[in-house]
Amino acid sequence: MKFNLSSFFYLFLTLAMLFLLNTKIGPLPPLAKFLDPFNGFWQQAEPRQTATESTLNIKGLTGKVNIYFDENRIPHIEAENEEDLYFAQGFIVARDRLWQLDFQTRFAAGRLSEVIGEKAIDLDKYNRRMGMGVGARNMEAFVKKDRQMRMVLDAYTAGINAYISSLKPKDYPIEFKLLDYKPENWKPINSAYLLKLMSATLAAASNDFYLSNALSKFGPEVIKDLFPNYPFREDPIIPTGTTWDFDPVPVPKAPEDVSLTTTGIKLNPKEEGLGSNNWAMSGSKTSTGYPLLANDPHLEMTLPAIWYQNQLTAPGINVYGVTIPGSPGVIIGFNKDVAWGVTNVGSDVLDWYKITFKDDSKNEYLVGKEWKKVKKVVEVIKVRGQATISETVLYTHHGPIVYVEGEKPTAFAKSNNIPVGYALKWIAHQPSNDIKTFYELNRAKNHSDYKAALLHYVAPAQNFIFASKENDIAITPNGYFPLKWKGQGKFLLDGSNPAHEWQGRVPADQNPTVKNPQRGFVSSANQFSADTTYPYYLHWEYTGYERGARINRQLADMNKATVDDFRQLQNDNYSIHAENVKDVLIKNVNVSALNAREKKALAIIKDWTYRYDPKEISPSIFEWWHKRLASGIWEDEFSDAKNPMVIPSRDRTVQLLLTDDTAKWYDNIKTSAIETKGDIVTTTFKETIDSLFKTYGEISAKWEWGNVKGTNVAHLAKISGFGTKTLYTGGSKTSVNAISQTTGPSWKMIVSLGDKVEAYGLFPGGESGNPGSFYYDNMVENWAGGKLNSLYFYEKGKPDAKRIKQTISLISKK
Amino acid sequence: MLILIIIVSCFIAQSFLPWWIIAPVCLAASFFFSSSKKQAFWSGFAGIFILWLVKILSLSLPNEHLLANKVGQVFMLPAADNNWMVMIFVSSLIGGVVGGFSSLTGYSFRKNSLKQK
Repeated sequence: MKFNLSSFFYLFLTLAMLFLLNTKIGPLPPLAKFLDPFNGFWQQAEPRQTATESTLNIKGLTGKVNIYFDENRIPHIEAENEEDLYFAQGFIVARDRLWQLDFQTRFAAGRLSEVIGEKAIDLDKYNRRMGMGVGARNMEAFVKKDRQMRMVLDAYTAGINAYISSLKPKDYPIEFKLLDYKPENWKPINSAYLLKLMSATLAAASNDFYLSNALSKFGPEVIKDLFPNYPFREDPIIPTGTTWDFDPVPVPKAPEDVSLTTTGIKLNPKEEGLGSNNWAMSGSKTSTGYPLLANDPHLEMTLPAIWYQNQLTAPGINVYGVTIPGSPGVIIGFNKDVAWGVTNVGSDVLDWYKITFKDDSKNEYLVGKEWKKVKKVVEVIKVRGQATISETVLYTHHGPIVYVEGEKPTAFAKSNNIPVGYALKWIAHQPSNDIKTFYELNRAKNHSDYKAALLHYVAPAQNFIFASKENDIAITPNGYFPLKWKGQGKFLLDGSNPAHEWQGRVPADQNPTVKNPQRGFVSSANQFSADTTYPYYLHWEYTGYERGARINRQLADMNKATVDDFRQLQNDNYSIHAENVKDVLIKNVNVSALNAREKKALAIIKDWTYRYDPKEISPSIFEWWHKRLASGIWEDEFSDAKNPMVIPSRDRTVQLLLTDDTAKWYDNIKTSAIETKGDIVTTTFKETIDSLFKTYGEISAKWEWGNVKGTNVAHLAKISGFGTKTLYTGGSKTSVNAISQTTGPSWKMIVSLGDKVEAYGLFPGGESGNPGSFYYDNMVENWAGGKLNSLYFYEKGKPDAKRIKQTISLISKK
Repeated sequence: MLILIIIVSCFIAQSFLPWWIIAPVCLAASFFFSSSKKQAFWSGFAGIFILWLVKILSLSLPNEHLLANKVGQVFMLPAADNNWMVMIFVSSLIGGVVGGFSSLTGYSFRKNSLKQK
């Protein structure tokens, strides 16, 4: 008998094939598992047409919930009680954004390596070392003491988990299939992580080091001159002249010799603010006689979209607006009585404290005359395809010592601005009940409800703008502001000196606020909260005043304002910065030194009317020129490989250009000749035209700003093909329409209050997080075109059949 | 005949089980019903190729190939409106190859067991 061995050969071949096609290799997903039409990615190819009515039986509901989807597939959730409402919100957010929920939580918690392997290790270590876990745990514990908020968070969590448990592997969002992992159950702390992530995005910048370095090089006089505590030009959020109707608490006295210096730290300059705007106008200046309110928070834009729109209706609440997936309620929105919005406050809520250890064991550190115990926390990081990593982080009463000697990664950009051997004191570590602010705003009826809601809020500090049907408008830069001496935390601080610590907080009811100011409107654009009459020190630098000033100028000119006037202002590309410096720049160009191309470019920019419109060529020239000029003026003095420093602000540079013709800063100290203002302006102009020419050829349509800037919205995990194509948009950091390459208005909203509230809005994305859905990026086109969608807010009874395209009923499963 | 058995039984099995179930199903079907090496391989290959192709078309056509075009870029194809053709062909091909070799294995075991009798 002869047995044919080829059987086993074929069997082996088949098994090997199965194994290879079922295994994730490098960046590729397990091929056959991914391409299989029954369980792979094809299952996420959503049809354009969806069923109009369906019913789902869900465990965990107490009554019936109806979810109506409008033409943009925005859910309008109607529940019989609050618990069911938040349950259904969790359920439906998970249905649209499950992978985003998972990925962002993992990001914040330092757990990305578990699913994407070693390339995320530095990032995970960074987020752990920054104390994201401490912040989230503190927040969760604090929220849970509040019975009502605990109910909200628990119901929301149960809703997300009800959705997850209804899934089969074929239903997992495509990113799970690409990265080959499974969703895990949601926990209430995940919501805390996502809120802390907002602090990490908006309130974690720090210039403390470079300034310390600059101080040691140039001395206090120069630093005072170049880095003043209040800018040359400003238009503060709380209008100048507003009186403060409270008795301020005593402010701590500045100790002598507060400055510390540091060396050998390589720093990235703090990025200028992202560019959010909001404003509200009293009925006395609007066409309807009722207030109008607008808000466009700017962030690094991603797909799936940062925000999620929904309407939440139950007895006691009927609110419409956007939420961050993972956080219950509505964060920016309106109800029939009020509307509110937020922009970021750049207050100083992050400081660094030099730690003095007793000895090399690093078990004790000095505070005053005492030695305190260091707490050692072990962070365990699981890594896909590798051994688990353990990291010990040293904690002081200030916060974590992010890196001690030898712990800082050399090639990880995010950690560049972290001084070695310093403890981090950061607002994000504070216990807080921020979701209660939104819970109460969602139900607010008037200005006093708004005031009360704001008191719970800690971080990241926001300019809360408000308008009510009762014709009140208000704005409050709001959050936990540490009580500081003037300039405290501008430089690095000494952790062993108790006088350097935060001395409590500015009483929450003394945060700057204004209600119904004379001028008939309120606004904010990340600039200074208040002028120098405000009794507390919040920070020495904020985003430049130009956007705020433009908004205020336009609003002051408006009468009988309409929604469309507000829409145009949101899309306004005018730059007050260009208005401020264009003439002085052109005047200082030495025309005789220019070639033909440069002369042509100069003629073009001469006629420019300061608008960063996409079809204009001048903004491309101006933008490159003024940046080059700023670095030309400062970098010869301020760039020092051993002692990196920050260069003075745009505001200070403008002041120099406008008021000083002979400053020593114009001279390039690296050449033997003495350069003048005219020399540096001319040289940088020539360089600008030269680099535009080298990149885009002769002056042509290729030089247009829309093309040179090139905006696009990338996928959250930068998966190619899942982002948008390049969008042709205008705007700049100094225009109200502050769209840059990757940042921009992540939500645009305009609300017209009155007997019947009318609202408009959209974001650069869509409701669905599924790249295979027609609702993944369906709002991008209108967004890029500066248009708004009409928002459907239904008040009672049956919703309008013309607006509702699909209905899902959730029924309790017995 | 074999091809029909493969299509029907794999369709049923795949509705409940992961993709690799096509291998044991094709193997078993060929073990019992194949008549030649060639017939076994091509029935397995064409059976799964057709099953997957039809299933994919039923999902991707109503989606207007929106997702397939994007996923093409994940696999390094340039941004284009016809990536879906490549994606559909490659997906069906991979299914077909697994089906073909599984059937071939089934046939060769059949031949062995016949010889042994």
